[in-house]
Amino acid sequence: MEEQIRAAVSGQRTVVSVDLADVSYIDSTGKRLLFDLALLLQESHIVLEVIVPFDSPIRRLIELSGLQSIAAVILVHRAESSRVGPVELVLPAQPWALKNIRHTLRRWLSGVGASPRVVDDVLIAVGEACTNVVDHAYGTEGGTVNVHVEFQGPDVVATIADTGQWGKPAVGNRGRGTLFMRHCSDDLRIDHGPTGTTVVIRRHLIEEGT
Amino acid sequence: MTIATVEASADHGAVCIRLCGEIDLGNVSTVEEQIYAAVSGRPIVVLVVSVDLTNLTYIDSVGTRLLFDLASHLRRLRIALKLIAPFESPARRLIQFSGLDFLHANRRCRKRRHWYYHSYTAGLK
Repeated sequence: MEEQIRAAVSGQRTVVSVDLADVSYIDSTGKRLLFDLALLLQESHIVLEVIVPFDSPIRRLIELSGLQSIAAVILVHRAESSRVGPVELVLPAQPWALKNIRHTLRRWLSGVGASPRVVDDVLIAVGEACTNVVDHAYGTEGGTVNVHVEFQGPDVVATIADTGQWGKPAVGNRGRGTLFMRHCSDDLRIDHGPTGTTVVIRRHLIEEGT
Repeated sequence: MTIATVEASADHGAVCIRLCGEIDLGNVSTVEEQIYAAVSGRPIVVLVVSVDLTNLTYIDSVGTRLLFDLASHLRRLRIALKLIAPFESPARRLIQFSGLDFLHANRRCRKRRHWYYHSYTAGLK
């Protein structure tokens, strides 16, 4: 199996997705395989995405394995449901992860029928929140950024959470990030707590007056 | 790694830079280096630098900061900066949100669906 995976990922790639939707059991050797793959790909600047449904029996195992500190773990609603379900990403709070977050959000937003303007707004607002996490939340030991997106009534709701302690608030040049988040959302809540920061962004899916 | 390409061409005193792709925290320093390299080291005097943001599919406060730093840098050198950004493009909206009062729009160019922003320079205003 390891050989088959290695053969599949050879060549020019930037992202490799491993879909575990139909995997019902994984033990330590399986986890080891994913860790080894993530590290191998990292050497070539390739990102490993691991896709796990919310209700998967292996979700807890993957979450507890710590894989999300080196790879992008994407939790999705099962595809057979007609309605577009929530999507959640857990990634290392590293600059490279920002691109993966956008990639997953674009796919999800096109699934809910968002207009280009709404896509741009959500990507910018979420991007700013995640950039803040990468920049401010953790020290040298690093940490993860958690992005949860779902459709609630008329709104797309994105929740960005970290478990770090912000050294100092974004000021000066980077202070524009918060300004852009406000402009690109219909409602913005930022909660700095002792155990981390949570940002909730709401954006109407359908623009008023159009 | 986030991918952006920086294509530069020069015609007499005008340097044109076309940015394509995405700019974020992951690649901003690489893009910045390429832009500054394109502006400096020209054999003739540069009077105007235009940066075309039309094909930029993602930009946020990290990328706009780069543009504002570039504007200040060029202003000190008395070089005009033109930013080309179509209506409704992400780059243009962010520039508008920033409320740049040292830049102004050239209305004549609106018909071409672009705004040209010029920094105030003694030579070109």
